[in-house]
Amino acid sequence: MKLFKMQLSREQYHKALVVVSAMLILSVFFGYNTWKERKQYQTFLQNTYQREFKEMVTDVENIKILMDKAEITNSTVQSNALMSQIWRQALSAAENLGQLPISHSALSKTAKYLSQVGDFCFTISKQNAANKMMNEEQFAQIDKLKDYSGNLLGELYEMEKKVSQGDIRFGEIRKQGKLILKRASENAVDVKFGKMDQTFTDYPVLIYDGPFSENVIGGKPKGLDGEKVSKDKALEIAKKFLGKNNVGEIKQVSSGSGVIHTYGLEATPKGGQEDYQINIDVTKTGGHILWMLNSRDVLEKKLSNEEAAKKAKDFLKEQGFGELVESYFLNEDNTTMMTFIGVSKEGVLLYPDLLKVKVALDTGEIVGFDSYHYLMAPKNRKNLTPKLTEAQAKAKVTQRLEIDRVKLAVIPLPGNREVLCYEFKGKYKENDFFVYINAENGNEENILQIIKDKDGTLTQ
Amino acid sequence: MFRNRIQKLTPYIIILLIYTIFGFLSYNDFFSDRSFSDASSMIVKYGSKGTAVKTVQTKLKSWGYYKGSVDGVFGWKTRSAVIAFQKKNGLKADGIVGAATSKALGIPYKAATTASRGTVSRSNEVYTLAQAINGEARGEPYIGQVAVAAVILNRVDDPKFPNSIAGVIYQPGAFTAVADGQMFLTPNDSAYKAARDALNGWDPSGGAMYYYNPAKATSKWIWSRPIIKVIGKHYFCR
Repeated sequence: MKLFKMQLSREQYHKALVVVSAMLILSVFFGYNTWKERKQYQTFLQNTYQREFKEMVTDVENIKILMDKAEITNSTVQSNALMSQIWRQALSAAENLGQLPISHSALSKTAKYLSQVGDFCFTISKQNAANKMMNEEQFAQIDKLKDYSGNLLGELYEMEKKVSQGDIRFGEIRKQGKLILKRASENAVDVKFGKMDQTFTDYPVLIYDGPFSENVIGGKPKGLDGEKVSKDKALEIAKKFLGKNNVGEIKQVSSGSGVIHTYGLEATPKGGQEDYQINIDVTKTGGHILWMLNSRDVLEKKLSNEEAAKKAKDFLKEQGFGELVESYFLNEDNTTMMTFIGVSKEGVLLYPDLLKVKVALDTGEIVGFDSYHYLMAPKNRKNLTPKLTEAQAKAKVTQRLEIDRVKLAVIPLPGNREVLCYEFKGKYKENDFFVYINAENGNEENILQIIKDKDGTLTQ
Repeated sequence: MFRNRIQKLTPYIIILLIYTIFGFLSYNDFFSDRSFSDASSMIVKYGSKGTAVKTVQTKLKSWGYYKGSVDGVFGWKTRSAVIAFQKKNGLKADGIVGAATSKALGIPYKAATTASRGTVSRSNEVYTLAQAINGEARGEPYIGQVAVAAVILNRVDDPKFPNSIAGVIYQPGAFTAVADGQMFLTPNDSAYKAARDALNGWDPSGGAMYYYNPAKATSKWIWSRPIIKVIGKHYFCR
């Protein structure tokens, strides 16, 4: 404080005044600019959210109208057109909803409704394209979905009114964080939208064959059999899997109660000084290895992909897996990730029986393993004899594809189903494709493109 | 009389000064935090860390240039080993492992990976996912990082969430790392690796849809979810 107690001359005082007022002006200017900028960002955010909200309202309006029409059409062409329009609108509505600043828990049912409407209509649209109309059951479901869209629309209109009156303001992110206002404004938007979500309290379970159908979500592990396994037994199984000479200490670190119940184990490598762990999950029923991951950094590449493939195959044989075929591979971080699929006695490829093995390319050590799909696939398959002949199926494939080879294969379909197909591998304009023709009714079930680059082959 | 006035003004002046300095500091902070640097520019030099350094050290050690441990930290020992190697091989002895030195070491030089025209590439997805892992689960055990990525991918497949990786990650309020901008930090090697493992189908979370850190979680709702698994500091739940 000594400084300020000094006597100042008049001149000095003036100087100080100039400096201080300059600073004052500067900071006021700066403050104003910051405030203005913040206002601009806020408005911009408001506008974006408003647009998304209003677009969503329009989308739901359209869904309602299109469903009204779909109920009274009697031509597959018209129904197909309507269904694909609903599909598009539902997708757009779900997307807009996902970008609104409302907590997920307040909106999960609405989001699910929109996804399922789209998915369901897409399924019907595909069915229409095969010249089949909606059956009575589907009609009843559309009717129910339509009622829900009506209720949802009512809630949305209510909300829209509040938005335009300024009762609901999106994007007041800063205010939420402030302590004093926290209680009062604790997600005021959430509360209002949460009410809308209540529209779906007795929303029906929808079963059809799209990816969002309920029977997929409630999928049960079919390949999990055997007896309950104790923790000690699980540790023993894991040790055997990893090789007794490779692991030092092994212990349980977690207990999984997901789709498949597991013991979550962690092993330290022998020596115990390395900076990585091996994690391994053993199923509580049957004592299967669900997955294994070794987090070691692989620094060098000494093995070729062929050598790695051999290591992986030997490993799988050692672990007692039956006949398997290599499907594709991917090189990443000096490792090769290989997928293997099952083969039946008759030589039919079993794509749902999928196993993944990751080989380190420096020592050939197995650093990753995953058998989720293998364990979830059905155990005993019947009906592996095709109804159509190969020539009949071939007639269904486009002339443009130059076919290299044909095989019988079981492929997974959305909805936890699988189907026996003829697999045609061929070329079109230098791109490789797989075309799958249903071996029973000749439907084209799927088309996959094979993407090859130096790091591996992928199917899309 | 002037002295009196000055004394009266002093507190205000000090407050103003502090205010101005703070203003400028936070303003600068705001921009310097968000450097959108490229993920895979692969120049390794003094102070670098990570797998790339380990690779260099392994090579130099096997040829006898480097005597320290392969710890992934580019210290002065590594630097002098690099310089010795560069001198021997007629390279510019600057102690920096760039394109030429990488080549001489026999390490494939990873330039910034860009998708080649006309083909589909997964590298964008890997990068976005790695960013999210880095922001959300830095410092967690490796398996916990894979699990966080798996949760994001599980959400993509679920009707209650948006149907793309970007849609899920950027959903407002879904991830704190997105809200506070930590997501924009350059992901580390382990985040990349975890992103790839998750995309390849490894799911240590056991099909979880949510996760939270019980020490930080504020939402009451999240506590009501059935827990599937505990990995590191995170509770994974349905």
